[in-house]
Amino acid sequence: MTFLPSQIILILAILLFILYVFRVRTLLMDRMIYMFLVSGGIICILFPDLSTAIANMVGIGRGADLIFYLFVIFSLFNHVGLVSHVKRLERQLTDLTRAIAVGQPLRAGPEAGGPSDSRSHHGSAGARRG
Amino acid sequence: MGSTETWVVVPAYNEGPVIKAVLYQLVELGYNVVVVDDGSSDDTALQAASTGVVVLQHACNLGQGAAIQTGIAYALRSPDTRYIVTFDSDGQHSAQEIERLIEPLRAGQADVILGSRFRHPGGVVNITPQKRLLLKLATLFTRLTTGLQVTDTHNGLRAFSAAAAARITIQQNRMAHASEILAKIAEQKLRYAEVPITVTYTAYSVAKGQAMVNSINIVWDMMTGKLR
Repeated sequence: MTFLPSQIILILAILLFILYVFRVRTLLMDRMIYMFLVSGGIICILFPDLSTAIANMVGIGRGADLIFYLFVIFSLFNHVGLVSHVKRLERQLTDLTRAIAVGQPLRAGPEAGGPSDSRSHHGSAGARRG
Repeated sequence: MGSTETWVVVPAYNEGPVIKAVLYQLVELGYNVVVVDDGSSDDTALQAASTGVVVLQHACNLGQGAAIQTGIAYALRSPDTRYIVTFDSDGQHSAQEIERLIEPLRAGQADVILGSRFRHPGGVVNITPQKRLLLKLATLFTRLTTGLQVTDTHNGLRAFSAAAAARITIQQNRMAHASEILAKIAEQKLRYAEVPITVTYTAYSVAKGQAMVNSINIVWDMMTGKLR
């Protein structure tokens, strides 16, 4: 089976994408790539024949097909960035919730704010309800 | 039994009806207990506080893994803490069996002791065949991916030395924490051992328990765990 240049390029692009996502990502690079892709989109709108020309060079029939493939990659890339951001927010939320939980116990050990022997049922004021 | 060196962490979510009874088992045996109420919508936290134990509350529901980690973080603040036990709040575990898990830690034979309901006959009461099969499959999967020779991979009754607990640091907030703990034991080459324990499925705990399809969520969480 002989491979079209377009297939090789697309597969390479996907592999590079995966490599980037799991190893090299930074917020700055994400944004630079994003701007690059958006610029590319704008250029394709301004010069519609450009996409067809490039498509033909790599063995894809129509410019629209090339744009479609690039859009799929762009979408995946965008998605990964968002998922990553959400995970970061979840980590922050977890840390914050934990800090509040530990710092403001509903019922602390006898020495307020510190873990200690909580077997004592006597003499501890606070939320004790019998 | 029971001194400032052992902390029993009890994560709880909407266990108002049963948590007092569960906690009294522990309190009567003299254990230090920290209950972490994971954003319950019922009176779990107040019920727990009425037994005299330490009660922490999550302002929002994060998941059992997060609740356990909060309890561990609390226990580790004290330099006297040497052993940390995780214990379910739904009544499936037996407080009498905790000592069985701590003994080997005290003797220095392991860093983590995992309770197993499948090491001996009669370890499980009232389990459905489907659940048993699912747990067996999960065990097989864990053995293949981590290399750990365990018989029960999703058991909430475990004991850690303080040092081991500090090294594991649970990051999976939801139910994948059980898999994460095993993965980290393997990665960090902690010494582990299994001890037979009993798990009793009551109508209450079965109604509240995880649906078996939640295993899909666990696998998903584990796979996406590396994405930061």
